[in-house]
Parts: sequence; C-alpha cells; structure tokens
Amino acid sequence: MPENMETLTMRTAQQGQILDQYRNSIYTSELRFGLLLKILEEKGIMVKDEFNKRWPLYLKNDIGIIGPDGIMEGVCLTTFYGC
Amino acid sequence: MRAVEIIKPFSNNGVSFEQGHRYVMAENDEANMRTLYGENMGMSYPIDNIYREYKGQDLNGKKLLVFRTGGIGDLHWPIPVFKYLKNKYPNCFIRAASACKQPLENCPWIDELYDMPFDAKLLEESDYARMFQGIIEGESEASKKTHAVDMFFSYFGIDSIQFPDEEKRPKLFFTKTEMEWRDKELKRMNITDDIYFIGIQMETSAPIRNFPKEKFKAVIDALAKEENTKIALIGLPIHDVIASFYKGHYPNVLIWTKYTVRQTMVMATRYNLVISPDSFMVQTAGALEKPLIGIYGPFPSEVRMKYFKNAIGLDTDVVCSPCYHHDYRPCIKGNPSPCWSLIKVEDVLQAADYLKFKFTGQHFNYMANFLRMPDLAEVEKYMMSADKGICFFSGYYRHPNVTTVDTNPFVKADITNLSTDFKRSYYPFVLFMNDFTPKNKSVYDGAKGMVRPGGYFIVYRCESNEQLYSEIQKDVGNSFVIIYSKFNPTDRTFVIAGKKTY
Repeated sequence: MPENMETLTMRTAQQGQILDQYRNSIYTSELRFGLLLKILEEKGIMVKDEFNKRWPLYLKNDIGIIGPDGIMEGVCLTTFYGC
Repeated sequence: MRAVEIIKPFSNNGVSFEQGHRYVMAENDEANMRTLYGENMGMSYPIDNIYREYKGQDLNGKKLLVFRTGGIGDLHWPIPVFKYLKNKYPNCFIRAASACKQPLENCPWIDELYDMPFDAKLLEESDYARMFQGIIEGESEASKKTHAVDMFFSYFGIDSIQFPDEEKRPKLFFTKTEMEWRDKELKRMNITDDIYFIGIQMETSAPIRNFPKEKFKAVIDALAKEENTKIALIGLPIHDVIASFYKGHYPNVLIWTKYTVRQTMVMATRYNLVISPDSFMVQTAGALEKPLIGIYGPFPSEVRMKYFKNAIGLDTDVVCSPCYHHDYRPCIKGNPSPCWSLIKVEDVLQAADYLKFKFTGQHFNYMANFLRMPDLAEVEKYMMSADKGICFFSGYYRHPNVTTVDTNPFVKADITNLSTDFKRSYYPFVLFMNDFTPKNKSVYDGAKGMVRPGGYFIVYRCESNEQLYSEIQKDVGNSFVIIYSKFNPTDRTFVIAGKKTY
C-alpha cells in the first residue's frame, strides 16, 4: 500500500472513531436528559416548567401546533390494519 | 448511476473489483470509494448507452435486471412485483442487485442476486433493466398518498389497484439451515415455546424517525416486568450504549446488536410481537405476518402498513405531521418533535396488549392499571339522578346510569346509540375521566358546558400528580361550586366534583 494511502486509511479510521465518540456523547446527553425528565415527572413537578425549558419560543407561537394555552394540539391516531 | 473502470484489482465491503471490468455504482459511492481506492479506479461513464429501461414490455424469454443501492426496508417492497412478473412471464429471467440484498435472498421469483456495485457486463447482457432508486423517497405527491408497493408496481408499468392485499404483501424466504441456526440460538438463550417474545427495534437510520428514548425506556420497563416475557432489542453495534440503557438490570431483556441483518430477519420468525419505528423491522414483521406495532411520525403509517395483517399503526394528527421528511436532520420544531410528543407510552402499551390478547387470550399484567375501576363511591350519589348522565373518555369504566362516549380505540365502545342522546345540550351530570391529552382538553372544556344548571361535573384521573390536581381543581372552581375534592397520593388518583349554580 502506498504511503499516502496508509495515511488516508488511518485518517478515515480516526474520523470514524471521532464520529462514534460524538454519537455516543449525544446518546449520553439525551439519556441523561431523558432520565431527568422521568425523575421530574415522577416527582410531579414536570409539566409546565419543563415544557417551557424544552420548547423554543418560536415554537410556542406556531399556530396550530401549540394552542393559546401553551399546550400542544393534536392527538395520537390508532389505525388497525388487518386486525 | 455510473459505470467505473477498474485499473487495479481490489476488494471493498466484500465485493471484488476485477481489473479491466466496469462496475455500476451510485455517484456518492463512487466518490467515497475514490477517497480510498482512487489509484485503482479509472474513468467513469454514464450508463445511459447500456441501460435499456423496462416500461412494461413482454418479458417472455427476456432478461430483466433490477437494481437499487439500499434501504433494507425498502428492498421488501419490490418482492410482490417480482412475483407478479414471474407469474405473468414464466420464461423471463430476473436478476436483482443491491447493497442491501438481504430481504431478497432465497426469493423464488428472482433467478440471480448480486451485490452492488455490480459488473456492467450484467447490464449489457440484460434485455431490459430497471433502476428503482428514489421512488418512495422522492417529494412527489403520489409517494405521499400511495402505498410503497403500489408505487413500485406503477414504476414497472403495472396497475395494481385491483390486486388483493395478499398479492401486495412482501414475503420472506428462509433456508432450512437458517431455521436450524435460529432454533439453536433460541435454545442457547433458553427461549422456549411458552415465552412471549417481543422484538423491539430501537432506532431508525434517521433521527427524525426515532421514537423518543425516555418513552421507549418506559415501554420497555413496563414490558420487561411481565412474567414469561422476553424482549430482544434489535439494532446495530453502534446502538450498544442505548441498548444497555434500555436493558437496565432486567435479565429478560436481550441486546441483539451483533447479529447480521439476515440473522435478525431469521430471528424475527420467532417473535410474538414486534414494536418498531418507521424502519426495516416494520416491513420484515409485516412480511412474516407477525403482530406488529408501527410507530410513525414524519410519514403516515398507511403508506407503509396498509396491506399488512395483524398490525397497528400509531400516528398523530398534529398539523405539521406528516411532514414527509426523509433526511438525517432532526425535526426543526424541537426535540422531541411535535408528532413524537403526542404518541404516549400508554398508546404503545395498550396496542401491545390488544395484540397479545387477540392471539393468546391473555392480558399483560400492566393492564390492571388501565382496567382498574375508579373509586367513585364518594361521588356516586350525584350520579343517581333519574336522568342519564354522560361520561367522556371513560376508558374501561361502565356505569348503568352513564352513557359513555369513548374514543379509546382499544376499548371499541359502542357509541352508535348516542346519535340522538348526544344532541341534547344539557345533562344532569357529566363525568370526565382520565384523559387529559391536549386534544381532549378542548373536549374537557366542551364537557363543562354540557352540565345543566343544578347539575354536577365530576372529574376523575388516575396516574396523576399534585400539580395537575391543583390545576384542575382551580379550573373546576372557576365554573362550578366545588362540593367534593380529594387527591389520593397512594394510588395517585383524584376526584373533583363541582355543582353548577342556577
């Protein structure tokens, strides 16, 4: 294998490792956030404060998604296929 | 797609590239390979002069080459098309090539199966060819309304509108060796026939299609506590971190991230239930006719699951959904996206129980929470008036003096007799129970207005907390005189009754 190929392969592998680390750190932070949410919800102090923290301001003014009371509109739809 | 000339032989991802041959590959694959094997690769050419497109011509005695780079799930969709072509033209010779060919392995309607990139010689030898890239990922209006299988049929010039559902359902074929391997693996992991085995695909390839992690964790928590139940967490090695989070300390939750795609598909033949976001396990379970819950956000479940058997699709009706985003960026509306915020853990759990009950006649233990009768003894006297009252979203609760309006799809309450009753504006009492989802908030407000002067408005909620209790208490207090109000911290339920003044 020529020298520049070797460097290139190594660089690609390093980039792959960095990407994996990055992906793992995103997972970890999301997991921590998820756990925090769960604890908050169990303690009964979630709903509004957490919502305000989590949803950006522009979204709150998104007509049709967030109602005037600050709560998301819409509902889960369940469809039965062949059962 | 382009045909690339090879100057020096090499192999990449298990595909050997021979010197002097030309290989057909996608533009982005070519660019990626050139970073590593630039010296081995020569000129590349467009394939237009060797690509004779198939547009529904007679195939008897002809060779057809069908190719597509990837999408394991998407490779399930052309299977019914191959069946149709092979039945219509028994003498035709069908070749398929793909980088994700696992769903097509052992398919009796395909004569030869190749990896991608493939030798351009195949294209030259074939009488016709069809590249089916970008059919369902496209932004066309048709792809938003039409089922993926119908899209593939129409792409091959076939009108599939009259075909029965069975003809449009993909099918998977496994060898005897594969099934023996499966049995050995199941025996090794002590998964006997009496175990209710659930397969859960953790993530899709695109963040926008992923069900929120905290919700998935709650679903897995509830299912893992069930007796005689085992759960397989399906994913790739990069999902190990998330898988260990989901697994926690449950011994009956298995992390299956080391299997190949084909092995994962073989194992799917054992599942009693599959839960998956919009990814390949939906198609695999649908092809195997396994009980299936598909959790859909950016895409409507109908265009993927319509022809499946024993399947439940969970969607949302928020205005921005379906947005048909099919890329790798997260939702611009926030995290979790509005659609994922509206699908609750309870929706998934109730769907799972519905399918389990349908096939085994047994409920999950967690359903005791859903089936639990509310303790309304303290306020029942208000419901004993001569005239019938009305109850909204009662779940599984029934009372002789209450007419129930129930939108819980799993209860399937009979509301056909309500057509006349429901038109009345005022009731001696109105019972509002348990459901405080955002849409039902407007129903809750409407229900408050249906109480006649001197009548009662009763609110019951389980799985509650003090904050919600105080909020609802304040809200009821604005329109009614509160005559009974109690929060039970032990079982986290509350009952509030208000009387409307004359």
